[in-house]
Amino acid sequence: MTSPALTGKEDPIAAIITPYGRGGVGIIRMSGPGVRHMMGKIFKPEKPGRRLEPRKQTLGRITLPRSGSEIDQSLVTYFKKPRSYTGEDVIEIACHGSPVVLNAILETLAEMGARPAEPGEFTYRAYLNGRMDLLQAEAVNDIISAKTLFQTEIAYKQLDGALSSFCHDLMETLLDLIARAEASIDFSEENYRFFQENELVQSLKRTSNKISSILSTYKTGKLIKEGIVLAIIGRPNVGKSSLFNKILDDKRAIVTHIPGTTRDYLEDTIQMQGIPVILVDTAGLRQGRTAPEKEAVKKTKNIMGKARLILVMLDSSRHLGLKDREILKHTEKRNRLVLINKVDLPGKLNPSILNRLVNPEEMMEISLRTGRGVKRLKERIFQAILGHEILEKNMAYLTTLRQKTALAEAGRSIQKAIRTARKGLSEEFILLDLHQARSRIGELTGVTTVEDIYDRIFSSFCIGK
Amino acid sequence: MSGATKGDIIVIGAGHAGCEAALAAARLQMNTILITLSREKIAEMPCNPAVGGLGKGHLVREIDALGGMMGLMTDRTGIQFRMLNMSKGPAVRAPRAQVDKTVYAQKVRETLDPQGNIFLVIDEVSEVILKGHVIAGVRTRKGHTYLARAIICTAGTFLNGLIHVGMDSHRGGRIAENGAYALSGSLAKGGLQLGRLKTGTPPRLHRDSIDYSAFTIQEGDQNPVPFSFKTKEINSKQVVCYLGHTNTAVHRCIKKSLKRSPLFTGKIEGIGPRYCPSIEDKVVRFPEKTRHQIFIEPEGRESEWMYANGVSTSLPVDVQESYIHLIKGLENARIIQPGYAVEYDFLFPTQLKNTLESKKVENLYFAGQINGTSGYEEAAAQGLMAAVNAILKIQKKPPLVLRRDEAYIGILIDDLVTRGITEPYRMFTSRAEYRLLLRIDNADERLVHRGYQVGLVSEDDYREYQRKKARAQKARSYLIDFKVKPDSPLSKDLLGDEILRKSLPLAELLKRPGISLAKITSAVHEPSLEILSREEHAFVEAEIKYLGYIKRQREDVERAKKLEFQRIPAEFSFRISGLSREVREKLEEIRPTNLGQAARISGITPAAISILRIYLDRHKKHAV
Repeated sequence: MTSPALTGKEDPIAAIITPYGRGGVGIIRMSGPGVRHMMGKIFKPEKPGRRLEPRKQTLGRITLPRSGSEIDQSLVTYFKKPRSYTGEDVIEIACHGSPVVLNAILETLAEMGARPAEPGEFTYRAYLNGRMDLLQAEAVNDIISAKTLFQTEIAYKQLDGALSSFCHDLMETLLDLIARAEASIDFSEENYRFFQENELVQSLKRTSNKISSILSTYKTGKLIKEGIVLAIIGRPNVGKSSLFNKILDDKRAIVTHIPGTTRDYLEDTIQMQGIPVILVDTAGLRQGRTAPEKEAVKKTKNIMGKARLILVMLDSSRHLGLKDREILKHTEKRNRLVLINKVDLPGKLNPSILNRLVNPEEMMEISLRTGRGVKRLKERIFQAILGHEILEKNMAYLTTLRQKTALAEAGRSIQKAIRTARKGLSEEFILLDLHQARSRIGELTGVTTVEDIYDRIFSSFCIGK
Repeated sequence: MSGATKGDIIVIGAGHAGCEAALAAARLQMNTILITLSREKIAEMPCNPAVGGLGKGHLVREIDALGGMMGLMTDRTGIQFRMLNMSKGPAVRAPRAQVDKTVYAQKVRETLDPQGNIFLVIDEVSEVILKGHVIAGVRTRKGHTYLARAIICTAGTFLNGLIHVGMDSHRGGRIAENGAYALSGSLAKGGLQLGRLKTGTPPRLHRDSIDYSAFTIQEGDQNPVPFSFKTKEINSKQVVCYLGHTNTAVHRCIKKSLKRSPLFTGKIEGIGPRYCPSIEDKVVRFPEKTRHQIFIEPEGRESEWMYANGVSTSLPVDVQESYIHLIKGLENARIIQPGYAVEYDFLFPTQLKNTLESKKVENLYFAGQINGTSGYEEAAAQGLMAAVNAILKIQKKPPLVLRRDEAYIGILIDDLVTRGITEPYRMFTSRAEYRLLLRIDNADERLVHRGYQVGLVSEDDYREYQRKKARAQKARSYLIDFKVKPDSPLSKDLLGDEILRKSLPLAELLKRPGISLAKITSAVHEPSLEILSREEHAFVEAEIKYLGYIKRQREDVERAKKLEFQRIPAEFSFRISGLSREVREKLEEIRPTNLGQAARISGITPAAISILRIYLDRHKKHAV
C-alpha cells in the first residue's frame, strides 16, 4: 500500500483535478471532514446570504487571506457525503485563471488544513468507502493516463463495467454451481436433484471457455494501455529526425545538417489505429567521450531493449560504415525494419554486403525528402507491431497483469475441478477448486462469503426440515 | 452475604448446553450449582428427537473426543441409526440417529445425579449480581442468592419466551412450560445487548391414528456406526421412519389461512431459520412445488408420540387439523400436540470472546441457543467449551480455543463471535473451509489430547486412543511398505484385467478410484489390517486415499496461519488513516485478536487488512 495510508490522520485533502494549462478553467477538489467549513472562510457567494447546498453550484468569489486579493468569479459545488466521488464531503471549485492562481488557492487550503492529495488518493478513498470496486478504481486510473481515444474508450468501458460485468457474471455462474454442489452435500437427504446429468461438468467447461476468451484479450489490452515503444536508430544525419517528424506529421525535432545535432533522444506518442506508439529517436551507439554522451548511449541501449520494433536507418548515398555495422549487429535478432533512406540520391551501399547483414523482408527503400515509400512504411510499421490482432471496440479487455493472473488462476482451478469431476470424485473434492476459483475472481469483483452461498441455496431450493 | 449459597460454577438452564457444562464442571471437581425451571425437562428435546446429521454429527464426534456426553447418550438411547452420504467421500459422511426422547433425558439425569458436586436447584434466575463489571452471582425468583466464581448462562429459548399458535400467543419458553421474564432485563442493565429470534416445531401425532400403508418405509443401517469412540457396537433393535408428502389440497388449505398466520401477519418479529422453514413458508416461497416431503418419526420406542418432520407451523390448531387430514395416510390422525412457534431473546454473540466469556461482564459465559444457535449439538458443544474455559480461567491456565482447522467446534465459536448471526445458526459442512481435515474418523486424533489435558478424558480412554493410533500406524506402514508385484495373483485380485507395469505399494493402489481398503483387506489377509475397527479402517483409508487433497488443505492452513499469527494487541487503536468509519466501527465492536480473525469480519475489505498490516508493523517497531 502506498503513502496515503501512512500520512497523518483522516484529514481533508485537496488537489487540482484538471490538467495543467488546458483551457481557461481549472478545478480544485477538496474531500474530507471540515471542507465546507473551510470553504466558508474564503468563499463569498454573489448572492448575499446564499449558502452552499448539496449538488448545487454557487457562484461567488474567493479571497486569498494572505494577500487579501479576490479571485475572479468562481463556481463552487458542494457534494454532501456519502453521495460524492469519494464518499466523504466533497467541494469542487471551478475558476478561471492560470496555474498560479490555482496553486495559490491550493496553498491557502493547505494552510487551513487540507493537505495536497497524493496521486490517486481521491479514487483510493472512493474505493475504501465503497463508492467503486477495485476494477472501477483501476479504470479511473487508466482514464487519467489514457493517451489515445481508443484507450479512453476501453478505460471508460471498464469504468462503466464491461470488465466488471464480465467478472460479475462469471462469479454468478460460479456461485450458482458452488451453491448446488454444497447443497448436494449438506442437504443430500432432501431427495432433491441439484444437478442434471453431467450438468456440472458442462457448465464448468463453458465457464472455462469464457475465461480463455477473455485471457486472450490481455495481450491487446496491455498494448493499448501501455503503448508500444518504437525506436529509431542510425548514424548521425542519416535522417532519423526527419523520419520522426514524418511519422509525427509535425516538425518537432531540430533538423540541421550539422552532425551530432540531436545529442539526446526525443520521445513522443502518436496514435496508430488507437494504439499509443511511443517513438524514440535515439542518439546512436557511438561510445561518447563525454559523460553526457556516455549517458545518452546508456539510455539508447535501454530504450532499444524495451522497443517492440526498431527502425534502423541507413543512408543509401554513403558506404556502409562501422557504426552502421555495429547497429545492424546489435539489432540482428530483434524485430526490426531496416530503412534505406535517401534513395533519391545516387546509391553507394553495397547490396551484396547488405544482403549478408539484413534479411530482404526487413528492408525498405525510402526517401524522406520526396516521400517515396513513406505510406507503405507506416503500414509496415503498424503490421510489424500488431501483427494480425484486430481491435474491437465493444469487447471487454484485460489491461493489467493483476487481472490476467487472477483470471488465469481461476481458469486453472476450474480445469482441475473438471478433471476431478471426471474422475468420479464426489462434490467436496470438486468444491476445493471451485472455491479457489471463487477466491481468485473475488480479487477482481469483491469478496464473497459463505452467506452468499446460503442465500443462493435457500432462495433457489425448498429444502430444510 | 447471609443466606447465600456459594459454589464454583453456576449453570443457568439444564438443556443440552447446561447439562454438558454441568457435567464437565462436576468432573473437573468444581462445586456446581445447576439452576433450572423443571426437573422433568432436564435434557429435553423440544424439536426433532434426533441427533447428528451433516455438520451436527461432526460436532457430536468432537464433543465425544473432548470427553463430553452427547455421543454416549445417543448410542445408548438411539432407536434408528443411519450414516449419511456413504456414497461420497469420508469428510462429508456423518452419523445421524433418532433417539428415544424420554429415555435420553432419563439417561442424562442418571449421569448427572451421581455427581456429588452438582447441586440441582429448581427455580428461575431473575437477576445477575454484578460487582462493577464482574459477575458475582445470581438471585432467583424464590428469593435465594447463589454466588460463584463463574456463571454459565444457557437459558435457551426461555428469555421472554412467547409462544404462538395461530393468532393466539402466550408466555412460555416451550409449550406447556413457563418462560423466564426477568433475567433479560437484568442482563441488559449489565450492558449486554439482546435481539429476538424465532423457531418453530411441527405437530405431534398419535401413533395409533396413522395409516402407515400410505407411507414409504425408511430403515436404519444394518450395522450401525456408533457416535462415541467409546462405544464398541450398537445392538439395539432399530425402528423405522415413514416418508410421505403433502399435496396441492394441503397447500390450498394453508394458503387460505395465511391471514391467520402470525408469521405472515407480522405478529412474529423474531427471525427464523431459513433452513428449517415452516410449511406455510415453503408453500408461499415455492408455489410451483406440488408436494413437500414429510417424515413421520417415532419419539421413542414405546412412545405414542410421532413427530411430523417437515410440517413445522404456527398456524392455528383448526388449520393444522385441516391440512394434516388432507395428507395421505393422515386422514384420521390425532394431533396430540399442535405445532407452534416460539419467539425468544438471544444475546448477540459478537459480545463474547472466543472462550464464550462476555466481553463486558467478566466471568459471565453464554452457551447454547441463547447465543443464536439452533440444535442440540451446537448447544452441547458450546456448553462444554464454556465450562472448560470458565474452569481454566479459574485455574489461571491458558484457555481452550479451537481453530477453524482443528474442529467444527472452532468454526462454530469463531463464526458466532466474529461474524455474529442474522438467523439461527446451524452447522453445515459447507461452513468448513478445511472440510477434508475435519472428518468424523479423525475427531479423536484432533481433539483427544485436549480433552486429556483438561482432565475430561480419563487415563483409560486416553490409553485406548493411543492403542488405536498405534494400530492405525502399523496398518499404514504395512500399506506403504508392501509392494504389489506385476503379474502376481494379488495384482489380478485388485486390478482385474488392468496390467501393473511395475511394483507399487498398496498405498499407491489405494489412491485409485476402483480400490478401497476393504478390497485390499480381504485380498491380503494381513492381521494389522484385519484388527482394525470400522472407524479405524475409515481413518487409515481416508488419510492415504485422499492424501493429495488433504495435503492441499494443510497447505491452505499454513498460508492462513500467517494471518492468524499477526496478533492485534489489546491496546491497539483502530483510529488509523485509510480505514472507513464503518470498517473502524466493526473492528472496535468485535476487537479481533489477530489479522486472520479481522479478515473474517463481514465488511472488512482486503484493502483494509493491508492497511492494518502496515500499522501493526509500525506499532510493533515502536513498541520494541
